[in-house]
Amino acid sequence: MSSYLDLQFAPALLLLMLIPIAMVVRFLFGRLRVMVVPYAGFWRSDIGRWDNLRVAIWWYASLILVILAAAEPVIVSTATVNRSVGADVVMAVDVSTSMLAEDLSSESTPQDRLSVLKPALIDFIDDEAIGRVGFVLFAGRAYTLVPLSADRSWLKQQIEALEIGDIEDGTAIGDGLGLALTQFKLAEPADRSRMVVLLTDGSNTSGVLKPPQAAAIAKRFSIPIYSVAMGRDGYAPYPIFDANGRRIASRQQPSSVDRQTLTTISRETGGSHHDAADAKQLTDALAAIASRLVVVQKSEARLDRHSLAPGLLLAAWITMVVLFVMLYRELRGRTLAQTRVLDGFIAGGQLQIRAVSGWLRGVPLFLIAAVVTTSIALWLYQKKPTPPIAMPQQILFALDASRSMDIVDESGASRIERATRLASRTLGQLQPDVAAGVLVFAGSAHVVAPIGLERALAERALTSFGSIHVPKQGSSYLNWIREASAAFDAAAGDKVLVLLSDGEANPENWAAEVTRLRAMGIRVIAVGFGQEKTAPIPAASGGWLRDARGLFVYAKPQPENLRRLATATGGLMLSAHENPTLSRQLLESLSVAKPTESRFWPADIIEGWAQRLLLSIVLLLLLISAWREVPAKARLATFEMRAHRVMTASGLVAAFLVMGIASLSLRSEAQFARPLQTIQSVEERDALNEVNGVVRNILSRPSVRAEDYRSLARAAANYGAIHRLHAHPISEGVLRDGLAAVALGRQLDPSASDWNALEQQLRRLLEPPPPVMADDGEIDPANEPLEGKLAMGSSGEPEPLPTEGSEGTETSDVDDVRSPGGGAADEFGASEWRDVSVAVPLYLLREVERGDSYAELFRNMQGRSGGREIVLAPPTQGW
Amino acid sequence: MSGSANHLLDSKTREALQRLVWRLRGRRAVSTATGSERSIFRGRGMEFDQVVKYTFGDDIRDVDWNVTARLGDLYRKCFVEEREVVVFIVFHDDPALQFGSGERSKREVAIELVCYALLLAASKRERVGLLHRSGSIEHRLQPTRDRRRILSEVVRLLKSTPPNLREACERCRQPTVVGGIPHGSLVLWLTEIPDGSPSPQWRAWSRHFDLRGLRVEDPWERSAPADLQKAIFDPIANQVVSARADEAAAVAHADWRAARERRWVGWWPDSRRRHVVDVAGDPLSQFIKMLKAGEKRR
Repeated sequence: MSSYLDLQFAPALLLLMLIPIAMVVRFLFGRLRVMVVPYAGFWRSDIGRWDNLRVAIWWYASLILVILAAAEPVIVSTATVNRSVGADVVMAVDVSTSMLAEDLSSESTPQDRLSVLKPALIDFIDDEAIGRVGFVLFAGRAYTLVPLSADRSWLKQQIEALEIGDIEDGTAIGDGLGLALTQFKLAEPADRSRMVVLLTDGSNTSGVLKPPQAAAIAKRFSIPIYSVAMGRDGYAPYPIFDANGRRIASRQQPSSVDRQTLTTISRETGGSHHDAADAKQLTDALAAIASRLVVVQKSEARLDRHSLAPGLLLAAWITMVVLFVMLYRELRGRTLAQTRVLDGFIAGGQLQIRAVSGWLRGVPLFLIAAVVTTSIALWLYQKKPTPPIAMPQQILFALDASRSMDIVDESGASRIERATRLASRTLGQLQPDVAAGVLVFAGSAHVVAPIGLERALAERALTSFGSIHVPKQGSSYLNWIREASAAFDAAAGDKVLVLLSDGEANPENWAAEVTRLRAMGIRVIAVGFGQEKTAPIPAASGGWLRDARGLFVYAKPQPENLRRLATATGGLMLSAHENPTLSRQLLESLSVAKPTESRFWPADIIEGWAQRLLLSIVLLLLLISAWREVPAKARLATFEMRAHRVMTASGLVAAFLVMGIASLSLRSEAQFARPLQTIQSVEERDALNEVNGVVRNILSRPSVRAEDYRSLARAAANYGAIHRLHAHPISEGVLRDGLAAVALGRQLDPSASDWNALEQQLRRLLEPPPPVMADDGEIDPANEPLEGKLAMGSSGEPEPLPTEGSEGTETSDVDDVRSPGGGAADEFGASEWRDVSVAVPLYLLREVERGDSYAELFRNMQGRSGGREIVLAPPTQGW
Repeated sequence: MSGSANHLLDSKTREALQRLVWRLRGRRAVSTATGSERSIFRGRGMEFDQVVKYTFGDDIRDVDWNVTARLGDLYRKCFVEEREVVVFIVFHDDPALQFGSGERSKREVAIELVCYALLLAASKRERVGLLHRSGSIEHRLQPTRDRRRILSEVVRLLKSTPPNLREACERCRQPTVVGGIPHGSLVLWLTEIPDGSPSPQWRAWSRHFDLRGLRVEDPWERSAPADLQKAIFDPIANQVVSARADEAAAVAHADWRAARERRWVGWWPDSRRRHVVDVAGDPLSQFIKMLKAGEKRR
C-alpha cells in the first residue's frame, strides 16, 4: 500500500505569495496598538522579536492553513485489492438439424438434443467461476448470437430463443470454433482465464475453416477448447413433423460424431473432450468443464482518496479563534479599565491616539468575519450533501429499419447507413457510465441490444442492421414506442430515446402512446433523415420497389411526426439533412441531460466554486485583518532604518522560500501524476495512428485545405512505406484514402505540393510486392500473394477509387465516416502473420468473421414461421 | 463672571469652572485654610472689609462692640489683606502629564491646581501672573489683579488642548530662568521632574523669590505596574516597550524612581519648598496644605 499527496487545485499554492506581500503591507501600513505611558521606556524592556511575532505567528498559520485547504490536498492511497475474475467462456453450439435427434432424452418425454442442452447451458452459465459468456451458433455457417457478456438474463433469454433451423443446414465446426475465438481480443494479453466450449453432435461438413486450423489458432493464443460430443453413435430417433410443424412420430436415423477430431483439437489446445450420450452425461460433462474453470485473482489497485481540506480548514479555524482570543484579551483586558491611559496605535511610523468610546472600538471585526466565513466553509465541507443516487443515464437508439430508410439521398449514402453511422459514432463517444441499447423497428419493433453498460452488444447491433433484417415491413410507431418504453428501467435517472428515422409512420394512432413515454420521463431526441420530397424506394434485389399493381412505391419523409414526438416529450428534433454538425449537436443534446434529482440540488454548485469563493473571502478578510487588527512591528522614526533592513532580508528570504515551495509543490504534482493517467498517455505511435490522427484532425475542421490533404497523403505513403519495409500486410484502404486525398488536394491547390510524386509513390505501394524467398527456399508467408489478397479485402478485387461524390465535397460528418484503411485495424500482431502455422487459418478466420452477421441471424430467428419447414434429407455421412 | 465670558464657555468648561469656584467658597468658610490668619498670603490685613457674625474660633479682638451693642448679637469686623504680594505661576504642560493610571490624568490635576491658585489669588485681589508653556507655545499673563483677565485665563487653561505627545519640549524638560517676575514674588513652579540638574544661574535667580516646586505623581510612578495587555509607547523616549513586567523591570523602575527623586531634590533642596500632589488624592486639600506649609515657614 502506498500513498501520495495529490492537489486538486494546485494553483491555490501560488497564494503563498501573499505571505511576503502581507509582510510588506504590514511593514508599511500595519498597526501596533499601544498604550501611552510616559517614561515606561526607562523601566520596561525593549519590545522583543517574540513579542512582535507572538500574535502574528497565529495569523500566518491561519493564512497558510487556509491556502493549503484551498489547494484541496488529497491523500491518495493505493491499496492492492485482489479481485476474483471469472473466466471468459465462449460456447460454440451446434444448431444443425442433427440436433433434432431425441437420443439424449428419455423415451417417455422425447426432446431433441437442443432442448436437453438448453437447461444444462443455463445451469452452466450460472457457475460462479464464469465471468462472461459468449454464444456462437453454427450449422452450415457460424454466427455470433451474443458476444462476451456478463448480462446473464440477456444470455438466458437468447438461449431460450435458440431453435434449430435458424441457420442454413450443415455443420461448420471449424467456422464455429474460429468465430468463438474471435470473441476474445486475441491481440491483447489475457487478464483472465479463457476457454471455448464446443457442443456438437456431428463432424465438420461445411465452412471455410477446418477444425484443426481453428485449433491451431486457439493453440497459438493458448485458448483451450473443451468439446462435448452429444448423442450416441449408431441410430438415433429423429422426429417427424407434419406440415404445421407438429411432431407426429419419430424414426431411427444414423448418427455419428467425429470424436477423433474433437479429441485431437481438445488435446492440442489443452482442453478436454467429453461424451454426452444422455442428459445426465451432458450435465456431468458441462460440470467437468466448469470444474476446469480458473478464477484468476486479479490484483487491482484501489485508490482511496482522503481529502485533507476539512482538517486544514478546521486547524485554520482554531488558529483564528486563538488569534481572536489574544486580540480580545489585549483589547478588553485590564488596560481598558484605566480610562485615562491614552490608547492608540502606531501605523506607518506615526502615533495616532484614538478616542476611547464605543464597545466596538478595537474589536477585530474582520477577524470575526473571517472566523464566521471559515465556519460556513467548514460546515459546507463537513455537511457535504449526500449526492442523489446517481442512476446511470439510459439511452436507447431506436433505429428505423423500414424500407424508406434505404433511399439514397444526395449525400450518396442511404438513410439507414447514415443513421447507423451516426448512432455508432455517438455510442463510441458516450461516457462509460451511460447505459445504451438498440431497438430496431419497421413493421415490428425489437430490442436487439438491451440497455446496459456493455457496449459490445449495442455496437454490434448498430453496425449490422439494415432494412432487410426486420421481418415485418412497414413503419409502426405504435409498436416501437411500446417496446421502447418497456426497455427502459423506470428507476433510472435520465432516460433519452434517440430516434433515427425519416418520420414516415404507419397510419396508426400512436400519439396516445407518447403519453407513456412522457409519463416515464423519457425524452425523445429525434433525428430526421431525408429531404422533404418524395422518392422511390429501392428494392433489395435492385431496381425500385413496386406494389402489387406494378407501380413504384414512393416514400416521403414526415419530419412533423418527429417534431411532435420530440416536443411532446420535452426533447429535441435535429435534422440530418445537410447538417455538418449533426453528430456534435446530438452529443450536446445528450450531455444536457442530467439526473433530474440533482438538477435543482445545490450540491454541485456548493461543492465546486462556492467553497473556493468562501476561502477567497476568508483570505481577503485575513489580509485586511492583518493590516488593521493584527499587531505589526512598530516602525518609529528611530527604528526605521533597522526595521527596513530586517524586513528586506527576511522578506526576500520568505519570498524565495515560498516560491520554492510553490514550484516544488507543482513539480511534486507532476511527479505524483496519477498512475492511470500515465498508462493512458502511453499511446503507441505508429504510422497507422498517424493516419488516424490526420483524418481525425481533418474531420474536426469546418473546412479542409490543400495542406490537410497533403498531410493525409503523406501519412498514407509513410504508412505504406513502413509496412512494406517490415513486410507487414498493407491495408489498401489507407493507400486509396491517400490517393483520394491527392486528387482532392490537387483540385484545391495544384501548387501546394508535389502531388504527382505522392500519387506515384502511393500507386507503387498499391502494387503487390514480389515474393520474397525465405532462407529455406519457401515463400515467405508475409509476402505470399495470399497475404496481398488478404489485405486487399474479401473479394480480392481492388476497391474502386473513391469518387468525388462520396468523399470530400459532402462534409457532413454523418456521411463522411470512412475510417482510414477502409476497414477495421488488424487485430493480430505481426508475429501471428509471420507464423506459417496460423497465417492461413487467420486469413480464413477473417473470412468467417466477415460472414458473421448478427442482423442475419436475428432475421432468421425472427422470421420463423409458425410451423417447421424442416424437411429431413436422407442422412449423409458427416452429419 | 461676565455674561460674555459665560457665552464663550462650553458646558464642560463651565462645569469645571463652577466646581472649582464652589469648592474654593466652601473652603473659605470651613476649611483649615481659614485658620489663625485672615489671609493665606500675607498675614492679617488692615483694610476694613465688612462686619460679619462672630463664630466660634474667630479672633475675639476683631469683635466690633458697637455693632454688637446695637444689634444685641456678637459681630466682628473683617479686614482685607495687604495687596502688595505678587503670585506667579509657571506651568509646564509637559507631554508626560498626559497619563493617568486612575480616574484622572496628571494633566487634569495639574491644570486644576493652577486654576485654584489663580482663583484664590483673584478672590484675595492679589496680583497674579502665569507662564504657560505647552510644547512650542508659550503663553504669559502678566501679574494682574483684574478678575476678568484672571477668569479668562482660567477658562483658557481649562479649554487648552494637550501638547503633541511626540513634540519634544526641551524647555519643559529643563527649567530655565524666567524673567519679568517681580522680586519677592511667590513663584509656584508646576512641572515634571526636570531631566538635568539645576544650573548656577537657577540657584542665583531662585534666591530672589519664594519659589515652590510642585509636581503631580501617578501611582505607577511610585510602583511599577504588573503585566499589561498590550505594547507600551513611551513618548518621552520615543520607544515602544514590552508589556511584560518581570523582575528586571521592577528593579529598573526602582532605579528610575530613585534617580528622579534625586533630581527633584537637586532642583528643590528645601523639603518645604517642594511638593508632590498625588493624582489619587484631593488636589485642593493638597494645595492648601502646601500653602500652609509655606506659611508656617514664614
